[in-house]
Amino acid sequence: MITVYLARKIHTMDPSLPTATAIAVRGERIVEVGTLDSLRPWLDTHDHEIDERFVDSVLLPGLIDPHVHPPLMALLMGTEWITPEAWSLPGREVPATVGRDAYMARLLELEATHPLDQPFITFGWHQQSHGEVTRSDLDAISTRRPIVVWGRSFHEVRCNGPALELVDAAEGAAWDPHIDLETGRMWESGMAWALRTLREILIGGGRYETMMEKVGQLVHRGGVTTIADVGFGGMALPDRELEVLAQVHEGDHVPFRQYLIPQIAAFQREYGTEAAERIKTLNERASERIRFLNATKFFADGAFIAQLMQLGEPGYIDGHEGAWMADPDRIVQHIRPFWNAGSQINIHVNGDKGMAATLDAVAELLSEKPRFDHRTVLHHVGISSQAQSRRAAALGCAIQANGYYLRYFGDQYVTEGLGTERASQMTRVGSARRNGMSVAVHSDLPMGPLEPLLAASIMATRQSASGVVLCPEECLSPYDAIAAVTIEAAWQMFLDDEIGSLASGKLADVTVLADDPFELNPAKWPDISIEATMLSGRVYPLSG
Amino acid sequence: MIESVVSAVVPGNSSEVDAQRIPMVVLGGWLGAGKTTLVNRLLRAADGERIAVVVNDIGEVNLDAELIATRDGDTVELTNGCVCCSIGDSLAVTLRDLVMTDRSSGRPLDRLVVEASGVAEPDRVAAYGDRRRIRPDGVVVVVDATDVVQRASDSTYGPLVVRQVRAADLLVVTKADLVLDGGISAREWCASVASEVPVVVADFAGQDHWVRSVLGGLAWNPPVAVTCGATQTIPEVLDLPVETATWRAGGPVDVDHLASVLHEIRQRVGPGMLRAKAVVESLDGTPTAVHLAAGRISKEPIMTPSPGPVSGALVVVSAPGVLSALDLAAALNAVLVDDGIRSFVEPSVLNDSC
Repeated sequence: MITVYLARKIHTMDPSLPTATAIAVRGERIVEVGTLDSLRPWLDTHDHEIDERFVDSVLLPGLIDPHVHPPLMALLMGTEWITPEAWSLPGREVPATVGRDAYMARLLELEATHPLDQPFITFGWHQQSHGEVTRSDLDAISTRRPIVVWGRSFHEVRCNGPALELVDAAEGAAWDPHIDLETGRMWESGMAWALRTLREILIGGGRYETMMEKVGQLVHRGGVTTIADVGFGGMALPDRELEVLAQVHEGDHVPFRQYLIPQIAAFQREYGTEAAERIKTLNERASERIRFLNATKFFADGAFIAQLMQLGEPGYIDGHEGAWMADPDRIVQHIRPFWNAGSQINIHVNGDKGMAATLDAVAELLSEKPRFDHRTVLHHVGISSQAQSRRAAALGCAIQANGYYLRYFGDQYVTEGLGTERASQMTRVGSARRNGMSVAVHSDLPMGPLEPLLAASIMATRQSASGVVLCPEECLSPYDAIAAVTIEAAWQMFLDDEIGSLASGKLADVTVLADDPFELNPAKWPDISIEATMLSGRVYPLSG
Repeated sequence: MIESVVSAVVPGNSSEVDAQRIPMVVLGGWLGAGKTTLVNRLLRAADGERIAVVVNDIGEVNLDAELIATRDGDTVELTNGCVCCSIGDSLAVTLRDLVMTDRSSGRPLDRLVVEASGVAEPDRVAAYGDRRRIRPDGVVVVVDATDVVQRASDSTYGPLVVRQVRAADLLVVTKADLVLDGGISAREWCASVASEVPVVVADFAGQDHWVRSVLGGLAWNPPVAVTCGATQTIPEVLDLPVETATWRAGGPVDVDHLASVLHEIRQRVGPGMLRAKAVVESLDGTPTAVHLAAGRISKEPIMTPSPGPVSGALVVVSAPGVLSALDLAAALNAVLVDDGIRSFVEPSVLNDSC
């Protein structure tokens, strides 16, 4: 049986047949895309039904978020969110909160309604947006209930007295220099100390599964049919993680499929010399919704949000130094065995100095063992130079930008950290396209919300939170912005023969929209209502 | 060379009865400079001490099979009582596990050595040593004679290499036998960026006698019994001359005052003041050790091995010319309770061959 879905318009994201009004689906695959008329040769021969439920809607290929961290998001789901930007979470809308007074007011409001017998943990505090918050501020709210304020950059918490007791901070401070009992600040490894207790509170005792289910709801609400966890093994032991995923994110009721890309450092830490063998056999654990790619994940420099990326000349305005996540000399050593084995390489890289080290590594690997069509993907790409963009293109790399850096940190990084020229050119995606590279966009959930239409909108408008357009020359065209969350994301995962565009023979993954993004100003894309998704031919309606 | 004070026990004046601060050396330097080789040598040269070494990647430490007593995941116990383990997710947790596990086993560790990652700022790692149960015992940075000069001029990595070297209390030049000039240009480079830091040239092929110097044994731990003005036999591995001065208190000392005076002096003269150690009697009669290492002051009560008065000696080690320019006597005598008690300060050049 063939089902023909009629639509107001279908944007296939296949340049040979860019638009259509009918799509024929049999089983999990697309039979043909076109018009009811052009589909005739098929329909005259085969049983079919015409489905008109999307006749007023606009269809896109199922949206793809190629870089997310569901386990991390699950951890944060159990906290109260007070963030500088608005978030839409299952069961709650989080308004944008800016300024210290607004932050403290919101904190008081949420704390007052929180069950008295539970610690109050809030995520999203951002010093530049919310001002300083220390132990004395939090002790003023309560000296009995533990209060934990978790930074937006994820790297630190601020605690009141009871919270310090809860996480055994005094003992931690006997061992870790990154715990300051006086100000209640626990950061970097001190934060890891706190996390041992917080993790249990937030996702212990079966709560992890519940929270992962909620993350699944987020994926669906974003109109997304395929995600990639580009840090598999980094947050939880791979075996344990696979058990949970099989329980929560497998089955016909799950509206998305996810690909797990192993974080090599985590596997090596856990399995030592057996890591490569472990990764090779992962595919045996694949199921319908949980899948693996011949792909691996590596790190170069530190985080963009914490201003720990490695910057080349002239560095940060305040002169502070970035950090390396991997020995830059060693990046090539880490990657080499996987490069030689034909794995698709993904590298987390944020600063231009990190980019220099990364491109050096790719160049060295290419000269050792040339590979055609290696599709090495550079992830996040905060700050890079024009020259690096051309070099990355020449080396055959692809760009996968964080779609939210510019919106959330653009204004601030102009004045604090980078200065106008470099900050406005962050996530240099326009040049990447002009230089012939594939450009995809991701959320890095929970670093940004899992809303590809919002990420694509930001890359097409380059509007910062204050509404300023930062370097319009680096905008993606509307077409390239939608491609960045569909066909280009698929291409970067070596999945463009299956997903990312709507064409005969491909999987029937569709996102159903109330409006046509190509008829709207890209600034309006986040307002488009997502009505349903289709995964492998099965429709998953979205209510509201 | 390790004095009893180092491994002495704190009396029960706090809730942490018998708490013992274990000295911790941080081993830094660029990838491939020879940190792991040095770790290997250290473990072999432990000389009866229980040394725990925390490394980045235990797989890279090639321990002889006959040296390994037990192996449990990332932790290897050696037949000589030493322990080698990897940093894991959190250095703090690793250090805690090492110290606490050993405390319960009845035989405490004598020392900790932490290998910093090749791209780490070693002084940041050293901060983990300035804690309740661990005290900093200096930063040793390994310098590769074959490529440090070129590496330091690299625009990407050079600034970090320089910062690493400047954070050092002792530099160990490795692979000098592999370069035509015998490591002279590397040593000159070290002197140009960190002129006051003593330099040891590693001789991995030869005897082990120099290896323990990185543990604060030779160069930064001169015996307290230095007599005024006497010239010491110079440790042959030292390239730079070192100046020492000894001051002796004849009675109780205001320990906090002593610590702040040392701190002030260190602030004033900078890293040229390499190391200081005092064993004095505090105002309430508690024998107390005061250390200056890696730019940090620490003080702790000690239990003397045998009853009786403590030596009251303070030894200061510095780069040449630093101490002689100071009026140490005036500064230090102020910490004495009774002005009448005799004390003296006299610089003595330990090493003038360069």
